[in-house]
Amino acid sequence: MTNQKPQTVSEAVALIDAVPVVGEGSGPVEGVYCSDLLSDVLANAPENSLWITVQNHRNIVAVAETRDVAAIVVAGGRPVLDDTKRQAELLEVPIYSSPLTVYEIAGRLYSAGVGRDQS
Amino acid sequence: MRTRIDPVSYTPFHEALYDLRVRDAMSKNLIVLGPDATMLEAQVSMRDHRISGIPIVTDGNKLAGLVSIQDVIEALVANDIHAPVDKWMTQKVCTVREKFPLIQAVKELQKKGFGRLPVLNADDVLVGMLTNNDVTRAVMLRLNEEAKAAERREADLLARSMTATQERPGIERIEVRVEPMDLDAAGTFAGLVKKALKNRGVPPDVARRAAIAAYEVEVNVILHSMGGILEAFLSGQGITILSRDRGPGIPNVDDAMKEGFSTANEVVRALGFGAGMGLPNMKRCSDEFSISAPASGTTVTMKILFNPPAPASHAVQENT
Repeated sequence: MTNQKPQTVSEAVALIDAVPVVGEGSGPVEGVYCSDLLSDVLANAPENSLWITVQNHRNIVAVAETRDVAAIVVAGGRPVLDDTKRQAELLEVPIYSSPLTVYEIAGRLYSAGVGRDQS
Repeated sequence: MRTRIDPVSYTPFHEALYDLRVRDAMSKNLIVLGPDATMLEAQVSMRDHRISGIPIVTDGNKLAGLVSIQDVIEALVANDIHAPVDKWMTQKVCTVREKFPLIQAVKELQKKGFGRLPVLNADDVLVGMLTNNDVTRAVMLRLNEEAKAAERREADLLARSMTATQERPGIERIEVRVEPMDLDAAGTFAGLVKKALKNRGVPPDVARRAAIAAYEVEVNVILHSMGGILEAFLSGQGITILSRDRGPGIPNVDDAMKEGFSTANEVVRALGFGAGMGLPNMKRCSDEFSISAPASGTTVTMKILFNPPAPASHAVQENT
């Protein structure tokens, strides 16, 4: 791999055509987790990860906050509900929106080495 | 600054006398006569209004004197009841200023044995009269207000002590009431738990486990019960999370503890709930976990220690 592995939220989201909806994550990214089941995310998302989901309701914010994910990426260009935005602002959880599917997002990030120990 | 009369006899009554001003107690309903009125008119007016003295004022309500019952008697004795009041009235009248503390007026009334004092403003204009009765009424009203305020404070304190604060020294208590199907509120309890643990400087991974356990139990009560109460007790050693709902219980707890088992409906599942991972997640995150689920209501107790004896056992299971 010639390209540098993305280290931060902003570097990682640039790979997946994501635009910030609420806040901007400046912290490190150490993993990626793709799931639409909230309990699954709570149980298994790695720390400081990007959480890729098609869920767009406000409960995703509490889950992200509880699990300490670095940022939420709402995939498939699904609109982020106003209620969700307000809650995210309140809890300071960054949310991005990407027009790509979960599969494409995961593929690009995996290829770039995000969340993999060695490249 | 106020000075205390005597520390021993200093009562709420005295306090009110110092706090209140003369204008707070005086009667503003003035009955007055001009200097050219007769002593007979003064006597009739006092009788009709059942008062024991009447102020005599000139233009602009400046006080010229005071006619008391004593003055009327003296005029009668002298057979001079038709004389103008300015002949018989008391001219050197003892007065108080409206802005004075009430205590000063009370001392004046007591010292000289007067029944009433004319009240003047800064421009020497007569603005009211003050009697012993006025003083008593004003103080009683004030004490009544204070008693009501004290009652409100006490009720407030009681309400607060019953909800969010400390019950035992060193133990912090969090309480959240949960309404059935109020998914918008999901995360409230978990957020409070996480914040409290953060404030205590508990290691982040421990705080996260507690928050996850709290979130899962919170969502369960919202989705599956008729409402309930979530409590967290934080001590120096750890956190205990207690969830009690109003039913309907869990028919088969062993099934419910299995990963993937869920009774959630399609709507709830579409939102990402109902994965059948709630109870297993709670158990995995806790150092101690217990559940009892009769139809009358489910109780879940979870304990998370701040210094867990065997950290390896808390690693969450990877589902790959």
